[in-house]
Amino acid sequence: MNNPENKTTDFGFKTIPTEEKVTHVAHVFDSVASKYDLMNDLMSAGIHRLWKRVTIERSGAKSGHKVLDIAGGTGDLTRKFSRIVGPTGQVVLADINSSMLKVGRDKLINQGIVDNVSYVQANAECLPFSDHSFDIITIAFGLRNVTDKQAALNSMLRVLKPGGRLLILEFSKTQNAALTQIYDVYSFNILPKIGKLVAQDEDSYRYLAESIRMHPDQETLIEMMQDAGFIYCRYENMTRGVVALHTGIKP
Amino acid sequence: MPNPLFSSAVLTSLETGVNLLIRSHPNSLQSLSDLNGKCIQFSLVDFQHKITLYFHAERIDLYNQDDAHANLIITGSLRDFLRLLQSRHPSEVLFGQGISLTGDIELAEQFSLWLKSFPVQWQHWFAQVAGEDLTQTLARIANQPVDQFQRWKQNSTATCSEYLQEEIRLIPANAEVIKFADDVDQLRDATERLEARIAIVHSRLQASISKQSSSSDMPFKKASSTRNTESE
Repeated sequence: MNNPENKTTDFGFKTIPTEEKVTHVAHVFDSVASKYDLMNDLMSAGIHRLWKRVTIERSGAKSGHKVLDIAGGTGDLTRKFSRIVGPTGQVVLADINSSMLKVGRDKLINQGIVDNVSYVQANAECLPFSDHSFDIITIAFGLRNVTDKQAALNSMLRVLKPGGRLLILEFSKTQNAALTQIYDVYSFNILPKIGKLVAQDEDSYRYLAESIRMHPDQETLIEMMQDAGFIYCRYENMTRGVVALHTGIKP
Repeated sequence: MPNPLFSSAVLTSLETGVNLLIRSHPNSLQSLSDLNGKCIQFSLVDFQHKITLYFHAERIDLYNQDDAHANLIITGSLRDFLRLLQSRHPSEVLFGQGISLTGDIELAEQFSLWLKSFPVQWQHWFAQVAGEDLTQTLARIANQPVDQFQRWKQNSTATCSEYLQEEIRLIPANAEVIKFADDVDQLRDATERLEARIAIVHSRLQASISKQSSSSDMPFKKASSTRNTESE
């Protein structure tokens, strides 16, 4: 968690100076970018695609909409939004990490998705867009890597149009004690080994597992969204709370 | 409402299957371009569920969306939609025969034409994608509610009529009604015959009375004519 007094924050289970977190996270994603999609499929047995599909379905996206996909990484959500908003809409894929952005851009271009997608390297805490720019903002499995989550939520509110919708898809806290134990064993024992085997990077995947544990739980994130100014904030647990989809509306 | 992940998994499989099928039928792929950029929503009334189709140049995306802004909304039961897939003449099912349309009707006709480019039974192509076992299970599930309803309807009708007839005798049995109707018909026939006979007898009687009265008048006339002659 952030500690403004000591100017420290969490990086997984470690505590590091706040200003260093961005660099640490950048190194993690520079390392995993090339195998990111494969690792996602292996770690979640492909279920991450269903979580993202539900996010699309809850977004209310339609033809002509302008969508911002923050921490969009390798473009899973951007690809689907691009088809829904059509030639009269636009999707901006934003990511703080240039390696992930490059992988995402190459992947989408290879799939022929070029017309209505643009790419921006941006920090979620200070988004470089005008006020009231977007109908929909999504951030999937990215908020837990942001240093100052409240600042990011404030920035998202600013760039959303009034009535626009924010969707946060993120790992969260399970409610079932038995499942939590199984999840912990999987996250801290099996997942890093998969990372070592497939991506030759055990430490990055250990960080990813630790960062999930340090992320706010469902109710805390609701409060943060309300503090930022979002209304009609709600969350939907998926896979027994392993993942939660938070939504909020800009008044 | 079904579990969102489960329905997303089903829809993902369906989407993959449909797009594989489209790519394997060049005619379908070509005619898909007519629907490019359009959005059709299917509202399944028996499941209170909506599926939205987004048509692109070379594929279709499927989503579970309640709030999609569709160009066309097609509402019906699962059975109606399966009939639509099986029918060689989709217009027999699509227009006013169990399925209702809201929105761009011209798009409905384009969609109907595009469906005609799939000359296969839905079970056949679904079996190619998902296997025979799953297809048979799905077909059984699709027909099960209808079959169950029909059996329930038959049972309910039989039970109800038996109760009304045998238990509380509120209404007669069918055989009794038929016999009664026959008796009424016979009585009507007999009545008509009787009326006819009465009419004949009446007319004869009238004729007889007329004849008698005319013959009894004749002697008086003779006597009066004789008296008149004598007086002169």
